[in-house]
Amino acid sequence: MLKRNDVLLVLGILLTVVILYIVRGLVMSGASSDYIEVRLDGKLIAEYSLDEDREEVIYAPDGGYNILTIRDGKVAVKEADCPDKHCVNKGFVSGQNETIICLPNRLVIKLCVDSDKTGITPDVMAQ
Amino acid sequence: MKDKRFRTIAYSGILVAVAFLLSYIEMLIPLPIGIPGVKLGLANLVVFAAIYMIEDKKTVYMIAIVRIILTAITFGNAYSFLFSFAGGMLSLSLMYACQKRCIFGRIGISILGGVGHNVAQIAVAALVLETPELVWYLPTLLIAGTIAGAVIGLVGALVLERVLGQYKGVDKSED
Ligand SMILES: [Zn+2]
Repeated sequence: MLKRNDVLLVLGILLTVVILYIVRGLVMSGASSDYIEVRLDGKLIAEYSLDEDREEVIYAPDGGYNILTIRDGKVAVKEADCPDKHCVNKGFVSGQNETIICLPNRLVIKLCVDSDKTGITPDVMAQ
Repeated sequence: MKDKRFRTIAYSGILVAVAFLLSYIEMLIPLPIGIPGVKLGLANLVVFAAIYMIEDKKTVYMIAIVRIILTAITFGNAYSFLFSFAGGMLSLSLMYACQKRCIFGRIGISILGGVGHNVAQIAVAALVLETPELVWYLPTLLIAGTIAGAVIGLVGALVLERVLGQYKGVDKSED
């Protein structure tokens, strides 16, 4: 039932996982981020600095919502109406290139450092 | 001949029903991984069994598609439908391709199905959300897919043994 190729397959997957973890470790250094990008459906709708504590409600196009909290240079989704609550369970994050994603509400919060600033700074939220 | 056709129809009905039930159970078990889109892939157990139980490829694809549509209408939304459709189709196609060429045993095929399911889900999510950062979830998804696939392969083998045991030699019972 368990063929030799099955074992090789598992080993191959494990090797891929190890390589990906190493690459991820290199990309996401321990350095903390400066600001966050908030994207809905892939569109950048807001940027918030992590320097000041605040709370924002982000409304998804189909009526869902996520409440995000910025505190002590970290960001978390405090509350959301999505069924899976992955975004809330992720808790506070601050690392470079980290993301909080709420798939049901198509919300992506990406943590960035000042050096990868795009120049777009919309301070008005869509909706 | 006729007997075989009736059996296929009966199997299809049962398999869709079981798959639907598994999709529901899957919903009730939140994965503590904290990654959106990762489902246990319990319903893959049915698809895996269907590959061996039903000879007609089209019927197997239909079972998978009906299951995904039913689940999306009942518990999901347009996006979860897209994710699970991509996941389901890639998973099934991979399993078929490898079964046909006999590259892997049942466990390997099931693992490939589980991994394919998760990779397709995350690929579509990255496209839809225009968030390439989602690839960083791949390692965890690969591990989850491998474990789910292995478990499904083991459980599936037991199920197949029972079901196909009654009709030895009539359906696909090689391997
Ligand atoms: Zn969420």
